[in-house]
Amino acid sequence: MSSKAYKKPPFRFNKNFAFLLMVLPGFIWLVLLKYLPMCGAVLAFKNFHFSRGGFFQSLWDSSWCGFQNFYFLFNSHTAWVITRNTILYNLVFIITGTILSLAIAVGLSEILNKRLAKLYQTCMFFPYFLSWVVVGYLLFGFISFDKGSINSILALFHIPPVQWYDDSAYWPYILTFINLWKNAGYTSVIYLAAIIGIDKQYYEAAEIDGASKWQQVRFITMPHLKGLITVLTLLAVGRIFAADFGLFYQVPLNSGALYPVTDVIDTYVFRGLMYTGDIGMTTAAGLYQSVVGLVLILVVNNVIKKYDKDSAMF
Amino acid sequence: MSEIIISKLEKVYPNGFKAVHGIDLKIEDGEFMVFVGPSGCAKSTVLRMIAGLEEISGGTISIGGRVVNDLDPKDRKIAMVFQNYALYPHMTVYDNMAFGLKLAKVPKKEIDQRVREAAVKLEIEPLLDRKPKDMSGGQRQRVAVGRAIVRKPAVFLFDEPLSNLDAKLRVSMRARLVKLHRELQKEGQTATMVYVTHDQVEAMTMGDRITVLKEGIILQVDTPLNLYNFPANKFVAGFIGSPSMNFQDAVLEQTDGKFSVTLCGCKFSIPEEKAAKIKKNFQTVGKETFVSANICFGIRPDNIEEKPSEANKNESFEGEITLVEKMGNESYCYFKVNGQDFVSRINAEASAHLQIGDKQKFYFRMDKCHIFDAESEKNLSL
Repeated sequence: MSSKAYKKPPFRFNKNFAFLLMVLPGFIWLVLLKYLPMCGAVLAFKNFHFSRGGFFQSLWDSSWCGFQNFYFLFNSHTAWVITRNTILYNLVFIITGTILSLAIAVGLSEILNKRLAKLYQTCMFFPYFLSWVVVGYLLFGFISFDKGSINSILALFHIPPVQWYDDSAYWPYILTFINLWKNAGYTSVIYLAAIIGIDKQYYEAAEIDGASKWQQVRFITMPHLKGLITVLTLLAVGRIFAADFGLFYQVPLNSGALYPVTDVIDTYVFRGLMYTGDIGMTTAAGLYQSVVGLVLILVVNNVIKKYDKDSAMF
Repeated sequence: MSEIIISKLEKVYPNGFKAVHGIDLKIEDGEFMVFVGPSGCAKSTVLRMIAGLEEISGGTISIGGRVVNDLDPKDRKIAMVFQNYALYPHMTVYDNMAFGLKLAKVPKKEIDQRVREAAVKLEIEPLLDRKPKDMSGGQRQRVAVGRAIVRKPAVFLFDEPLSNLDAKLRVSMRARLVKLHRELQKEGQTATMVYVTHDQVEAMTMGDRITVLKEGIILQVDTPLNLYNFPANKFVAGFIGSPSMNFQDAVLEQTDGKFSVTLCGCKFSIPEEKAAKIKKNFQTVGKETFVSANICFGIRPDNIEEKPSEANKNESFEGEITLVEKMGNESYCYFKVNGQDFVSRINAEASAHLQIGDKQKFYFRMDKCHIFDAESEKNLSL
């Protein structure tokens, strides 16, 4: 008995119209904001200058300069500082953010009173929706030299006030804290959703086996979240060369004295564009971030695949 | 000692719903007790209260002479096998079985010995390095049972462990569990087992005794055969046995000192011995006389025969065949009498010629019939 090779049925536009319509907005967004701008990557290899005829004419007229924009970026003495700050802050944010989000999610899942749990969740989620400008000035209310509440409290104990916006020693901790405060609640919701999906019978079986609450978290919850933690961490590692612009620009209020510890690739590029207008160099910085991010994701994913194929993203 | 004594046990949920209504039950040391009943009868709730997974609202549960109401599950010396196995998916079979022992800080050597012994008993030794997702349902269930065995508990609790298996596997696992119970008893290991199921075939074939529950109340506790032959009420009579008992509304009569029941326009004599019991039991349901009393007549399909005999004493009526289900060695014959439906279980040879629409005489074994009070549904013929 011979079997005919499977022939894929032809695509029917009418039959799939509703689905295509659903996909359309996302597709337009993806093309306009993610794929089309990729063409702008050529700016990194051009000595861009504006000419009459608009942007595209200027792009056409600009001369090629090879990797010169990249040399400029890496030869500047701040290259090491911004790269170090970007990578280290992101590493700390990934580690502390993951730990805190998991802790919040596990804690919320254990609260018996569901109304209270919802209240706590809302309170922790709320900062995520605040703009960095608002956060920056909220922080200013605490650490302003003359009117800030912290210096006022220190004055009560006869401790000299701190020049927060001039002293860079405190800012790695401040930025880490602010980042956690703003984002941990958001990420915890993702973990909480996964925890809620874990079959309760595993916990019951563990309870009968004699596992304490902590052991249940360690032996049931964490292994179930392993895949999700891996994916989210992988995505975060892919963005390790991209810092949150709002955090590093708005929160320190762009204080020059703090640049050694608050300047990252994004803020450096922004200032570069604002003050020098060098589109080519700033594009080079952006392309460098994206390429390195892609390479990192590929490398880390391959490493994960070697140890645990199921946890790899692809 | 691992007897379980349940005294005035109650379960009330926060919304006020009372799931368990003050039940009393004693499960003997080493007994295989089956909880059976329809969905929502609270059989799993009672099991989970024994396990400590549900809070007890009232009453007490004691295991081995110790009241365990306030004890954590791990301190009750119980092991449980879940409906969905609840095997830890990220652990191998070995680790799944060893997990409880590791938490209890049992020496490694002893853990290894116990795990391998249980694996041999359940024929899962080749699977020790596998993970649950790489095994079939039957294998997973055996691992779940193995996980319970290694703990050497005082009580084994089974919450519908076979309901996710196919019919054939269910039959073989049933036999395996019963065999395991006997083997554990022979080895001197305490083997009190409490088994929850909604399948009355499992209940009948596995239990030393069966507890029939309905809406949080125990209706009857007895051996499988006693439940089958002497059901205390209409619900138990209808729940136990497949096909289910035939029930028909009828009227009790007395003529010339002889008792009869009028059913579908036909009169059937009640044997004297049974009539005496009915008369006596009628007083317990608060009725002064049972003559011309409305009752529910019940008779099992296997007590409806297709030919006259000494046993059925020619008590018969003619019915029209509506369906014949041939099961191989026997047939279930559905028939109508004056619009009322009945089912009988008859020999395959005897039913070979029967067709839908045929008229056939069916003979009742009145000595095996059951008379239920119309209001209380209590069996008056015991």
